Amino acid sequence: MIRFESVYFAYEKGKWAVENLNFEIKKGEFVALLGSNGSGKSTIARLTDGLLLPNKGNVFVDGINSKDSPDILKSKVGIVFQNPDDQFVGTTVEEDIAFGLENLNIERKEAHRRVYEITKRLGIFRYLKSSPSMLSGGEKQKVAIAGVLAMQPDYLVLDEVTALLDPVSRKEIFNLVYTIAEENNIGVLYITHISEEVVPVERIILISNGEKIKEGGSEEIFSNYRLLESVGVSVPAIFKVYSFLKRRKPDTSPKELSESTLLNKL
Amino acid sequence: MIKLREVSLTYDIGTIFQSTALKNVSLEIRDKEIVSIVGRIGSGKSTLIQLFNGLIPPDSGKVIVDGIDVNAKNTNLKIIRRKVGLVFQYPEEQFFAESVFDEVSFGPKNMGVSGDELVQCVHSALSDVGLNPEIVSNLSPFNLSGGEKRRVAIASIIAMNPDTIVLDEPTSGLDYLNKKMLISYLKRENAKGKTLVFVTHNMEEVLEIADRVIAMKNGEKIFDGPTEDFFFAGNFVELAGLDAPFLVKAQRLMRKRYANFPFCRTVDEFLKLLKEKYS
Repeated sequence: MIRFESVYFAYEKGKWAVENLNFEIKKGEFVALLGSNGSGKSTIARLTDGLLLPNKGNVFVDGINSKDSPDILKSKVGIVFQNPDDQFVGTTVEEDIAFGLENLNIERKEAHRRVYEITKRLGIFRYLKSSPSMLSGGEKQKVAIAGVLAMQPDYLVLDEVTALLDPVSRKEIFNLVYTIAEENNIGVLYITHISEEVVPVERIILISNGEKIKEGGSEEIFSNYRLLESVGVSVPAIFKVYSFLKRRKPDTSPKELSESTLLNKL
Repeated sequence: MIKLREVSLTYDIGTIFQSTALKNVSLEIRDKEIVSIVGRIGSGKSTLIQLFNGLIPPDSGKVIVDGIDVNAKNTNLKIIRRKVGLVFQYPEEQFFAESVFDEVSFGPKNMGVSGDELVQCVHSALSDVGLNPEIVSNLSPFNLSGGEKRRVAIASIIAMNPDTIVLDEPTSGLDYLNKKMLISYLKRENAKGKTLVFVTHNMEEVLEIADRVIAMKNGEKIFDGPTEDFFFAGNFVELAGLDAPFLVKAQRLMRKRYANFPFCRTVDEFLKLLKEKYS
């Protein structure tokens, strides 16, 4: 379990970037962190795997305090950022993914097997010998995610990985990560400013100015339009239609918050 | 007015990287229109707009801006670039000046604007994108927030006072409020008489503000017409390899159910109509 216990963090004195933050992610759970630019999302990502350490409070991963052994945290928590171009180290996709495994002293044969398996699973096998820089944005991001997944982390932190992608690639990456995490019992913290993306997520944490504003499912998070506007997050069109239908047909449940079900109900 | 006549372009001819970017594309951008150019990655949409101000010449065909053949030998490209301003994707990555004022004044200065007139022009461009010139002029552009940087980059094009502003993915990477602000500033520029052309992959934005859509696929133009037709007269969105947003799917359904169901640009407009239909 990842556990944030009254976490405070400041880059400059007297200005909290993260303030009194509490939340938990169990293994196998998929949690979304939603907030506008500058709300503290990326700071939270870096606190999760020990890249940053709290000024006050504690971050635990499977009982290990990040202040005690940030290195163990880094092996348990894989993290992928917004811009994949900043993250490549190899000249080919294969080298790039294998690099992390070499660092973990994983035996060659096993490394090969993992690279093969994960690139097949993510649909980037045909690019193994290509240079990552030649790929499209969506494919690059898949390579970055593959590199992290190959290390078989217990938890995955995805920091705005779809922010620069087109909607088609965005959906594809989201769905892939969602199912792979489920299959492998990986706990995910999915960080985004795009509210449409997190509609299907069961637990969403809404943050603003480094503080948790709300935590819950789509219904709890999106029903207060004014609050969302004030923290700079949009109300997804699909949720507005859902609320409209719910007012007319009170038996409408959050389970029906999918495109096809709602269209049937219109 | 910008006209493209049977324009074709191939990158890296004769090398293993050879790829056709544009195939026989003809189109017109009329004055004061808002035109959106859409398509998947590699469809040719970003190449297309770089032809509009002569940044790249076509292999064949003609680009004509206000009657001037852009790629003719005796054409002064400076004149073309005064008419057509191009804002690249992530324009803030190309900042070079130490202050916002220097960044935004670079273009007009090069055009010979100076003194009070230059100050006036920079201040008005910054105000146009919702930035207070008194506050931001002396700041380093690198220290601004992501949304502010994008707006400074757009101001530096507005400062040259082009008739047409062409933008490549202007809202990419911005969050909701910054997007909303930017769209409202762009709409205001259009209301003041500027022609707007923007490349985007965000179909909600197209639905909300475009008068006309040009859809590209594999270097060819596959649709050119009113925004309403792009979304509802067939399955052009899908043909272009794009995803129809939920609001479009919901409207398609209502259009089937009710003859003359009006075209809605936003979900709020749509729900208002739905209320009327259901009561």
